[in-house]
Amino acid sequence: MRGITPIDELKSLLLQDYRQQTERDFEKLRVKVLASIEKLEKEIYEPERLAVHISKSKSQLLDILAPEIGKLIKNYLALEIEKIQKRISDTTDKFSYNNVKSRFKALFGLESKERIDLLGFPEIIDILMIDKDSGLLLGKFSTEEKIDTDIVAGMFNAIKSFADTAFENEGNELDLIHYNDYKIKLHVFGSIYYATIFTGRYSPEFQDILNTDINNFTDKISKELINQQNKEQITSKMSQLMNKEFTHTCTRLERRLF
Amino acid sequence: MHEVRKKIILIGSVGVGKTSLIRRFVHQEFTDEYHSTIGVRVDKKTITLDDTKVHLMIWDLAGEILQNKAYQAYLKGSSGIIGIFDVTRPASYQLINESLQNVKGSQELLSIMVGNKIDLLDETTDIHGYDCEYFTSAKTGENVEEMFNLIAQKLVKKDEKFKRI
Ligand SMILES: Nc1nc2c(ncn2[C@@H]2O[C@H](COP(=O)(O)OP(=O)(O)O)[C@@H](O)[C@H]2O)c(=O)[nH]1
Ligand SMILES: [Mg+2]
Repeated sequence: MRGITPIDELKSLLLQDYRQQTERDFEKLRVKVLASIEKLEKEIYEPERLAVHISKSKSQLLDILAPEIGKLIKNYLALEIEKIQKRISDTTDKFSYNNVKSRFKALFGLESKERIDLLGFPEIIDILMIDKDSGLLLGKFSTEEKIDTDIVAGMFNAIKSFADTAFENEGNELDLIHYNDYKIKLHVFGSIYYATIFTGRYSPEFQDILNTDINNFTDKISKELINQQNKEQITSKMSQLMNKEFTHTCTRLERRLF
Repeated sequence: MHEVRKKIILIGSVGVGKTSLIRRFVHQEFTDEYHSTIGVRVDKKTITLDDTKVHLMIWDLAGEILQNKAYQAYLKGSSGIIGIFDVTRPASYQLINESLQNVKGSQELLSIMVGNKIDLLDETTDIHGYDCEYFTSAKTGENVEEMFNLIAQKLVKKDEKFKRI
């Protein structure tokens, strides 16, 4: 028998108490975990053996997923497990992706999507301010520049109009849209509304923070909006204001949750 | 350089070439997934005119206009409407001509009429009976850029006029 196996190393790294740690510690840890997982992968390159290994440590790995562990680690693990899964399915003909998926399902007792939901801390991707009539973008807060927010704003507006018309008689407006792995929460204020695109759960804490911050922000800028004759030209200025405000929201969100 | 965003709507009978015209003009990022369900897809094209960047948000309405309740909502807040007909189908011209008047209603909307599929006609065909700004072909690309550019120009001009008043 060997001494310390890669999976032991990984476990010992992950089962430390992170609550006291600073961000820099997290980064160090992340690097260590990465190295450890890489080692693990190199050593156990056969899918079946890897599955056995993970299976053996199932309970410890589930411990790892316990709520007190830092978000970083959780997201990181989810991502890594996903990657390993993918690599296994990409490189082996014997094992179809579904095969591997069901194997993982058996190991963790969860479907991949459920697992992500379990891990799913809310994370804001974008907050768009949209003109309710035209669907034109009035301002945005973006954490990544992957999507064309103009088009997304327009499409939301169309989807919202469609749904609102369809539910007209029930008297409630659409306010939470599911789109692939994303969720979109709508906050309506008269002629404008915000669409918050996020991943993870719409937890009560998240709701609380988001509602408060969007309300406060709207109070702050309402004069600006009224004074602005031409809404079609508001975007860059408003985006600056939104960036300032909602960067705080993200920080507060992380602090509150962990 | 300043930026404006403008919403424009494309209407016209099924098959006249609305979607094809947009495809010619913009690089599409979104799939057709929603198009058939909610009856509209939104695309964007940015045009630079002198010192103004115009982001045209182009709403491609599927199917017959005015029958779906949601369509009324889709029209809201638009600055311009392009009515498109198929030059080989005179009936599509009649229809869109009437729809355009209805859609415009009392709104201060810029509207233009466009006859598409001009590539299907030979030179001897008389097209003077059609009252429209442009004849286009989504197939060959003829006049497509020009048509959208004209819209952008007219919209910006309209704004300037408004500012002077
Ligand atoms: N020859 C020719 N065919 C066209 C042109 N524009 C569209 N079509 C064809 O007409 C059909 C309907 O086009 P589509 O864009 O889907 O029409 P829509 O229903 O108005 O969106 C398709 O088969 C197109 O390939 C054109 O300018 N010339
Ligand atoms: Mg179409």
